Amino acid sequence: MQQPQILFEWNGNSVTAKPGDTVASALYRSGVRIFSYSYQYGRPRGLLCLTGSCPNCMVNIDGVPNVRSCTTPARSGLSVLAQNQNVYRGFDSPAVKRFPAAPPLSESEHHYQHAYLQFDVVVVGGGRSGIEAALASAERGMQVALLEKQPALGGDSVHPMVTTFLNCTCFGLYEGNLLGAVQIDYARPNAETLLHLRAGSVVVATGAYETQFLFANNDLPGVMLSTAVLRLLHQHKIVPGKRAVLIGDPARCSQLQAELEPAGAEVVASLPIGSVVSALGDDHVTGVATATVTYDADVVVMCGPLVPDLGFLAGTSLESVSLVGAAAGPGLAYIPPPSAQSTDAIACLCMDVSGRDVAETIESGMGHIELIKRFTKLGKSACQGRMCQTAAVSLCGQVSGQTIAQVGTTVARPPAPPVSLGVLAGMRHHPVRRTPMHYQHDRLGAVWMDMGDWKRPRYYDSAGTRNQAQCVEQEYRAVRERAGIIDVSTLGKIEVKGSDAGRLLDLVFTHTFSTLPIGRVRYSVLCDELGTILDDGTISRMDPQRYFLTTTTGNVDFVQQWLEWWAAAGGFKVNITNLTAGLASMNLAGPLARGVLAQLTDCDLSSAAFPYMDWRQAAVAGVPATMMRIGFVGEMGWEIVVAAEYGSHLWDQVLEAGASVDLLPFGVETQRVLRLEKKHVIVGVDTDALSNPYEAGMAWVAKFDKPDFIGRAALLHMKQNPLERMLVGFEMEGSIAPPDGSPVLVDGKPVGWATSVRFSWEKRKVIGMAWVTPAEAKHGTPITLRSDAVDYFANVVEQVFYDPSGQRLKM
Amino acid sequence: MERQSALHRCHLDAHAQLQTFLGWELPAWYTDPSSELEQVRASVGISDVSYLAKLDLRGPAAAFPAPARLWKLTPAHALVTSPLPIALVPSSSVTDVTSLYSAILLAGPDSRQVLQKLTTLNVSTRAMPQGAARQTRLAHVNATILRTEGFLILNTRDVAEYVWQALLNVGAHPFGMVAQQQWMGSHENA
Repeated sequence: MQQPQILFEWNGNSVTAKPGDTVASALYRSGVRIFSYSYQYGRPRGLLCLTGSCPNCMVNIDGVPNVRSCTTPARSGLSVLAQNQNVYRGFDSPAVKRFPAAPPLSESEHHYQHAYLQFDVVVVGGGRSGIEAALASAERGMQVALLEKQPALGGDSVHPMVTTFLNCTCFGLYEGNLLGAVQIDYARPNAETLLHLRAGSVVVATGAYETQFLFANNDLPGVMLSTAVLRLLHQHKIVPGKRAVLIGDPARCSQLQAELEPAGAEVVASLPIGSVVSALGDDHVTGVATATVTYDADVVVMCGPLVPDLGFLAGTSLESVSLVGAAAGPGLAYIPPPSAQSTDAIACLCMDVSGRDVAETIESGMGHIELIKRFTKLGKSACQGRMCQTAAVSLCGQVSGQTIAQVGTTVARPPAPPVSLGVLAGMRHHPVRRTPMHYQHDRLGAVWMDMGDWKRPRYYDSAGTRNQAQCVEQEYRAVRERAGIIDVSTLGKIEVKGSDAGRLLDLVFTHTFSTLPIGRVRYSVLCDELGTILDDGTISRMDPQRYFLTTTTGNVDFVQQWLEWWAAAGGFKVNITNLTAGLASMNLAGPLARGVLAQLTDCDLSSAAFPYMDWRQAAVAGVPATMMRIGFVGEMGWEIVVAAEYGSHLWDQVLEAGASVDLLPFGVETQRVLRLEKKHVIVGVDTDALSNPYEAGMAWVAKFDKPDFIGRAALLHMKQNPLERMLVGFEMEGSIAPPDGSPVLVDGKPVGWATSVRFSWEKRKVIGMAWVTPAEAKHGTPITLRSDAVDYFANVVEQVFYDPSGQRLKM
Repeated sequence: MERQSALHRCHLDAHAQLQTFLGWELPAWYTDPSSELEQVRASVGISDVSYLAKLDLRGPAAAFPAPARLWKLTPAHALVTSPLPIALVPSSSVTDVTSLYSAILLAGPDSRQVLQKLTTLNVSTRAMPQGAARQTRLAHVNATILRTEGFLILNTRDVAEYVWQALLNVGAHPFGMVAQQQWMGSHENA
């Protein structure tokens, strides 16, 4: 049966590949010899290692640059473009050969993800030794992962306890035997999975990679490592040339000769490394010259030094892993390069560093291997030193008369090999927290704002045609003149219950709660030992031993931890549960709010029966609800709390009941204006990490009528000593609202900053709150706000801007 | 009044056929029950089990009669789940958290591969046998994972849609109540 043909594009031309081909092998078979041009001098480069180690065969595939064509399986429909080894424009000149510039980077289709896996044993490398190690572990009952960077194992491994990961390259071993590996799914573009493997123990069977010799023109296309030749012969059935010169260890050369000759290649000579002076040729090798003889050849094969492939272990102790097979072999080998001939050799293929560059660097005083790396850029690019480390160390040792051990190596760090940033980022996981009424807001034209991960309506623009000021004014007027409703489900909601619940709250809040009557709500503040405001909220007593707390949106987790800490410290019998997401809450406010709510409940809402700062439980719109009569925005209002699954139903019912009085939903921005007119502080907006109640104008929250609470001593001290700064209200003289956070100046000197600045429809002026020194805190004091180098004038106002007596809350 | 799942919008967007189940409005099916069941048995599926009653227990765990199941989170903290409503005696150590948590059933032979893409937790049968309960992170949010015949994933309601979508993104397919009942029935007999 005929195999389906694989066709892909190379620089716009069609190339046919055979099954099992990589992009590189298919190109080589079709006659391509130059795969890239070098970084600095534009030297032609061809296939060298064929194992994913060298930089020569990197291409742009489907818009992704720097893909190694020798490890990428050929697939129909690929668009492959030649690229230069590094796209660095600084050295470009007309004389230097280059492939055309690659297309600019763009976001291409990708499928990046992560996976977290645990195994007793992870074996890195699926060659013979790796498979043996995996099977031996599996037979002892261990769960084994076997990682192989090639698309197939180097043998058979069938054992139910062994999970094999193909096309999977390990790039680092981290603390706690955590291995990072990237598995590529070549069937889709950019489909990579980052595996986080926790291993009981790690076996390294990565083998060794071959590295090049140093002689002039050692980088010519046609000069290859023996690994490349063997892969072309055995995996791809390609005979790389007709006349071959072999260089290196005589035993390995004769082995290679025995492979090449039956395939039809003539071995012209086998030379020891010391005798080779130069490879000959222009764009491709045509021969090899020794000091005395010239050999014609179309392929030159280096049986180069083998280096254990341990790059991913950089920075870890080798004692924590077991090395097997060639990976356990000796370290860097010394290549004895004849000095006269090696000066023209390319030591670093990625950065075009020659032997002469290295020698001159050493001669100019930078003899340390790290200095050579920094000065010449040797070892700093795509191959991460695989092709040049041996050469550099040898050259350095030769010039400076040191041994390999004395020269040492540069410090390596994972990841090795490189990892794409895309797969490190992985899938996009950006949590979004939605309230139960989210889609109600959406339908009403909510303009969203982010509060942490929460989405909250900033304001509503149902027609999509108005600006923020128009929308906010309309919502503002609804609340002040008729009725409005806001979703406050994001506010933290905590239940504290148990026989010590009252005692705990007495300890952590400034007010007393053990004596709070059931049915009452109280506002209070949470301070730390230094009297600093941590959070604020309402506390309702539901039962003798059960309280319901609200917190600010961002602080609920902190408040819960704070309560649990003090409960544990005091040995209190309480249970603390964060119920935030389980409850929908909405604040119905405005002079006509009572009439709206009365349509939905039988509960007596009159102030006589249900006064300000009381709560009641009753059915609202047919669902069990808790109503708290509180008023952040300064109008008569009820916070209605129901189970989350009824939130959208209740919201719809309130809107329907309010239609007759033109009730409007309002957003956070409108709420901020409403509460600013009441000078209600938002913890974290108007206060900072050091604010205390006295400075914030909330001296009344400090209740010294109980023996102790957290922060009592500090608050008492504040009460008896002068303050350093104060939070005051102000009115702007002009109509411009400088941004929140603008500095406040007096006589040109900064004395504080404005925390909230908004236009007030009540005052028909821009109002705000600001931190100033006590000298400026008096009513009528002129202050200056500065924004973008423009000064804006304002005067301090002591009184609350709206309904100072609080009558409207209690109607 | 029907109780609305935190995943209501996800079901509507997937054109689910809704039905009322134990007072909750839930998807009967999305496409058709038999192919959904087949999908779960062959690979992996997710189903909304918001109807499960959930209790949070502090202190020494009391016994609850079947079909309720007790899950020990820590020596002094446990959860109870039950397919039937539980009569709750008011107590300072028991809190009804049915409304607080969304519940997603992850089922099928590839369930583990789905979880492994979203959590660092070891979800192998050896590390997490049936009856095991773990508090962990899933797709960067807090989650409680309970090992039943499949995996029961509890999240606070606010992130339920986000987690549902994350599970879909890594290859899970939604299945409705009809397929879910059949799947559960076949596992009870097994």
